[in-house]
Amino acid sequence: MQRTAKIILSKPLSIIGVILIALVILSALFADFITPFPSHRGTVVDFSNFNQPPGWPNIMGTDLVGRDLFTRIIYAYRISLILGIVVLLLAVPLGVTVGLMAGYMGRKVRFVLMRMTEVFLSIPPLVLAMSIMGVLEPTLINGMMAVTVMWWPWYSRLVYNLTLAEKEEGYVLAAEVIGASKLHIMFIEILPNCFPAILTKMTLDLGFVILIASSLSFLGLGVQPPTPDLGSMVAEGARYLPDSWWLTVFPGLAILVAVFGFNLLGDAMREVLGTHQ
Amino acid sequence: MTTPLLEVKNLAKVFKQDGFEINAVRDFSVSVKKGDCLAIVGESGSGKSTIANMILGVHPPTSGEIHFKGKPLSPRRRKNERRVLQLVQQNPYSSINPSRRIGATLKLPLKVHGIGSSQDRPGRVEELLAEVGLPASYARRAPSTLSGGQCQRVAIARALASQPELIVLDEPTSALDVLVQARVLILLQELQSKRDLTYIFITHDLAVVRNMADRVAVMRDGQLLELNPTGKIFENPDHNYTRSLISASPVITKKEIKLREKLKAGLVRER
Amino acid sequence: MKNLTLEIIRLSLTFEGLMETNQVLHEISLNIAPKEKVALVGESGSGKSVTARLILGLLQSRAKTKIQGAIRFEGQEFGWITEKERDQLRGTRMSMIFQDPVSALNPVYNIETQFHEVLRRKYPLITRRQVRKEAIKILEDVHIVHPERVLKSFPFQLSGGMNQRVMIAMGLINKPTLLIADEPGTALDVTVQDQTLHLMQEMVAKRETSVFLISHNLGVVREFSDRLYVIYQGRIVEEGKTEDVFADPRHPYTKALLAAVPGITSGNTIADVINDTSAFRAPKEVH
Repeated sequence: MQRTAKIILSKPLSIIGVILIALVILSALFADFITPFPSHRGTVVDFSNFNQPPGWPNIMGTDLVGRDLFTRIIYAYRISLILGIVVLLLAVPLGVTVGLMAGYMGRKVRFVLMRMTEVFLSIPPLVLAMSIMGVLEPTLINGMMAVTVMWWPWYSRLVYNLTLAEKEEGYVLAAEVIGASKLHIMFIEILPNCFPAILTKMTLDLGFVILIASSLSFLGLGVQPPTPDLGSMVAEGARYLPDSWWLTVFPGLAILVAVFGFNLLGDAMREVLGTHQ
Repeated sequence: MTTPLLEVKNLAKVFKQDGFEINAVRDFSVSVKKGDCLAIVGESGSGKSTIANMILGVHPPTSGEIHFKGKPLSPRRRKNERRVLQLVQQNPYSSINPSRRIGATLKLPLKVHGIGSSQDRPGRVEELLAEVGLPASYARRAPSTLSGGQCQRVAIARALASQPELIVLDEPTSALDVLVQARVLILLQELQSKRDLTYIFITHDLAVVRNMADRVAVMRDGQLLELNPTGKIFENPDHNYTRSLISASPVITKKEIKLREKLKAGLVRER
Repeated sequence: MKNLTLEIIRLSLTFEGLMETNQVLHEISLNIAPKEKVALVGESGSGKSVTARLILGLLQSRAKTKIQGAIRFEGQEFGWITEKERDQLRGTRMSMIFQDPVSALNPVYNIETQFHEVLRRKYPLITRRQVRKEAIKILEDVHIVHPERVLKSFPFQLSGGMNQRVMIAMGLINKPTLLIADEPGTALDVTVQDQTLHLMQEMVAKRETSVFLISHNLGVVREFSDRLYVIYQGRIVEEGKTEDVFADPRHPYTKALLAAVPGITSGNTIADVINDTSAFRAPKEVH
């Protein structure tokens, strides 16, 4: 623990990453207490106060129906984080299982699983997600499903490569000689040794998932109004540039802060956990 | 005549790689009595580790048979066939899973072979640690806090856990420092007599062989060159290659230098 | 005694880690005369490899490393010369042979290109033809039968023994006054290791090179070196002529080490090793 703290504190960029992510997570958690107008996350209309530039009490201005932009951005963070975490909770176990099996089981299993993984990897992620969303109804749940489908293959490839290396270690041979089951060897012996790399990638990915989800909703394929979402806020505001600049700039900055913060944090994790891919 | 504990008949292994066939082991036969220590000696690529892997059931042999107590071992080993044949590897750091505690590593063979109830397993782990000269508190430690010699003791304890009859020792001390090596070799000798174990000792180090083995098999390029009692190997070996191996071993006493000179002289004469 | 090739005077080395400081060398002193083969014997973690890296000047510019004492190479003190001058010594007047030749040679260049690299350190303007001529000459010296073919090969195309010979040739081609050999050949088979040692012996005798041998293998040290230093936990515990130390080890640690080596003669069972290591902290013995 002390070592972790020292490594993080020795690099200014890591400190910035930790602070940014702490701010994002804390504000999303306590959105109800820190936002000035919590009710503005839903369908509230206040035409007396619409399209106001940044000022007081709307420090980031208001949108076209008079809702406080700062409030909506903080609630959008909450949605983004939930989406990112849910996507990773679905994609990581799936990808990890596929990777472990492809790396450890026989040649036939490897062939089938890795070809499947490569097919998914070969399609540009956004195109894949867009085509899924084109077929399905654009809802939050479907958005998560679409991003999950494009995300798991990255984990299966990562874990596959790690497993190939771990398989050569003596402890795997020892477990085989003892007569342990394949399930035990994959999940109890090999998997824990992949955790540092998986955790690092998850931290880095949280930022990217948020970015991709925002891109989808920017295109109108993700989270639907009135739920606040950074991507759709940017898209809506883009029509009123450059006059109502705050409508796009602040949600855009919010995306930048989250993605940048998770990247810096991921780099710090890599340092702490000693994982260099 | 009593049946030998392990009997290997005409064992051969061919590896196929990019259309080439590599004869890793050709026509290897040997039998080992209970309580004996057979050394398999050779340089890299001699096939000695391949033999170990076939005996342990890691790779199936291309041809030949392995009999244990007179019965052939099945190619896909059953649990009980695995229990009686165990392994200690060369690299102690790699052979112990770095992300599991020592206790969990030692419990695995007990769990797999259903030895003892889950309540008395911690007690058995403590006994195993004591048997290899480690304190009971080591069960809670992580492998990264142990030295190479201590890791190797854990690996030996793990091999003992399933109550095997034969242990394959694959270069068990060649990654260790001299003092640690001596301690581990002494431990292996003590365990052998206490548990009536049979060893197959795979190594390139002839000095270790001299101190551990009853019989020695000398391998080169997958072929068994000679199989003789240890005394004969070092006094009057049948094969020139054995002579050159012994003459190349670095030694430290005058007595050893004399022996080496004698064997070297034999080498020249046969040429 | 002013013409020593290498002189190390009360050298201490401390690594300042994140959590604690770790002193790995405690005022060690040793010297190597011209044409002398000197060994530093110790177990892993005893400080023998960092000593070699200090002599090569590889640790001096590292952050969080505290060095005290002096290293004098051919009368020149490391503390007085610039980093650039020190770097210039490496590969020209002192060179190194590693434990594993295959990983020490660069796999993507052929042997000739690697000889070129080495020679260029001493003769920056050397031509390809001169490189080939010099390389062939020295490869013949290390008993390589087809030097032209070896020059065109890549390291992975050669056997471990061949690579080891190439390493020795490269280490000696610039006629260094000091050759540092870190566990030479221990990654290889015994017969190849034996050949390596004999070849090194022959080559350094011919070229009058001093050798600093670093090894944990007492047999190798006995066969190769004229004089030796025993190092234990960063302290030199015994020094003397190789013969003397092997015939009459005085320090408890040296005694324990020698007793622990298994022998190839009968009745030479491994002695029960002392488990009490406190005796190993006894003061230094000099022969």
